[in-house]
Amino acid sequence: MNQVITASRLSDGTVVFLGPDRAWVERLAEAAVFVSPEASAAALTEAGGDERANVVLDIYAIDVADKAGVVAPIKLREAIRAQGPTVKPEHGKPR
Amino acid sequence: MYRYDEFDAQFVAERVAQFRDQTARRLSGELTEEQFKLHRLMNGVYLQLHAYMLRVAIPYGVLSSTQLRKLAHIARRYDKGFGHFTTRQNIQYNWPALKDCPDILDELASVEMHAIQTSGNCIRNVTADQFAGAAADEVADPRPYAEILRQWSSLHPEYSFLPRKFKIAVTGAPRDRAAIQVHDIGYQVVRNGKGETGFAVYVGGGQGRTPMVALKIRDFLPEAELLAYTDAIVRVYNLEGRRDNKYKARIKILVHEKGAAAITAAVEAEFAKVLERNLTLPEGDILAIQSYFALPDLAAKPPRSETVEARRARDAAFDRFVAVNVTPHKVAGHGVVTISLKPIGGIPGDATAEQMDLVADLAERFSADEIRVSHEQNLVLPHVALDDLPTVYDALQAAALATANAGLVTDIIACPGLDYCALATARSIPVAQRISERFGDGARAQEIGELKIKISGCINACGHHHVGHIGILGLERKGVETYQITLGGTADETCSLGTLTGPGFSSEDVVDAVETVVNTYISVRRDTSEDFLSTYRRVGMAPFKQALYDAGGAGI
Repeated sequence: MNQVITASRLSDGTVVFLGPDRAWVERLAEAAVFVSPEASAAALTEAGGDERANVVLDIYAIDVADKAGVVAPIKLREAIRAQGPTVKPEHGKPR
Repeated sequence: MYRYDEFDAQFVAERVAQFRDQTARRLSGELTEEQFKLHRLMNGVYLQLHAYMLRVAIPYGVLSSTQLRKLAHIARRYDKGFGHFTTRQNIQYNWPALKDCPDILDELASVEMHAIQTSGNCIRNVTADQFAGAAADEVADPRPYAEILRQWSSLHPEYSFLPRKFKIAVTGAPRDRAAIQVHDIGYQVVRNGKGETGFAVYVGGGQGRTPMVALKIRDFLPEAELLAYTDAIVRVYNLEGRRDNKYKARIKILVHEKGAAAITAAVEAEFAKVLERNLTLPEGDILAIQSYFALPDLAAKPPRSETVEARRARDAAFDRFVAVNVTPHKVAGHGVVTISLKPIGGIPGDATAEQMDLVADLAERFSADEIRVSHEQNLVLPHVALDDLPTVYDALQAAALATANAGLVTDIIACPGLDYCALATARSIPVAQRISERFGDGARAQEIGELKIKISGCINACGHHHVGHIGILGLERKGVETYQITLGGTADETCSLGTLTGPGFSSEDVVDAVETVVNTYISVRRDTSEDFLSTYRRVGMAPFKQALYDAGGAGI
């Protein structure tokens, strides 16, 4: 299963994802996708440094799938985290 | 209403300063999340799905216009222009940045508010009847007792780290609007045969994953012994409540495992010891607190307002609003106005900054400067002269706040659910919205009559589903939202827990299932005077179950 690394930004709690250049990005579409468990685990370990550096908190990996060329979380909870409240899309992230 | 004295003001200011320092040290990296988490939770700051969440205490649901304007200001300046009123009579902000939280707490302190004890294993905001001090049916105003309990329990050194959180509710009326039998302690103000004021005492109620109705352990507790008895109950709990298992740590587990006789004996034994320490309330202190809650100077008027009657005769929508959302006041010629935060298809409990400002203005002009928040997630103008109802109604209607549905099928309690909450297993709000749209604002909802639907997005039951006439619990099954339905719950003075209908329903089917339940009720009720709960209690589960599951019903 492909995975993406996610966390919450310390300063404002915004949901962020680990990008290809190891910077944290706000949009899932810009996240790095790890195609093997080993790559995902290594990225998670590396990202842990940003938790210790107090940039982000609660870092974990989520399962994603390719849906018509778009990266989409498998679990509804993560889909809502990535996009924002389904009941107030205007308060969520730009698509 | 209660006003801070110098000690209150100084204490809250000091707490804000401490939290400002703690937040700065967290943001600079001096404190780890593990070190900081306890501090932020003690000041009402949670981390939710999309952002931090700040829960602000509204003691027993009472606000002044100035305070509500401040809540509006905070929504506008630090959030996304709205706030969410909760089932614990509090308000939550869904989008504050951590760095702004100390400033928000400073703003709150300027209007005598804070977020202390809105989280953690302590005695939480004491809740009360939202019609307190105004309702025609009340024995006495419960707010002075709630305030006495608030003062006593605020940072009580013995009770800051209880086995689990602890919630107290107080009602002053025989008609229980405060859900006291599903609280850790419920107090009902009563009078004994001699005309003395005291309390019936309920203990060990609660919802969550193990719902229980409280046991009544005292028919009459003298007024002066309120704190001594509360102290005895909480001390027994603090000593004997379980700390080894979070899910068995609430007092309800202790109470129901020990049984009524044993828990009563333990509390009474402790109570005798507490009384020896002379923890009785001096009459002068009770009177002093009561003076903060004196009935406003409302001129008695004729019980029938010609202005209102004339408008009702020519305006059906106004007529419905008065019939459904206005409750009798203890002073003739006045009414208690419920402002529904449940517009058809809206998000239960949400209010925009503009709506809060408007309600504050109306309270200032027409309700002795007072607003209440109900545990059913509505606002209340407690002291409105009947002659002013047309003006108030017109202003509310212009702000989409005049939905005439208090207590009806569309007046739905819903927790934030998976749209916001980190603990949720399914969404609650969209289900509430779809049910609301299904039944609408017209004659059908009125024809159905009183019907309380309550929806929770996980077993923690913040949406009170166990005590909904129709309760809905959202769960996740194999990655998909599924909804269980319970029937026959109620949080009023005849408190009972709902019974599961059977297998759950998909998100697509749950609204149809609710409609099936409602249609079944309509078909089996004796007449329109037999409400849903009475009908359910008479006919039982069978006809509902049959309608839901037989003949290829919607169950999965």
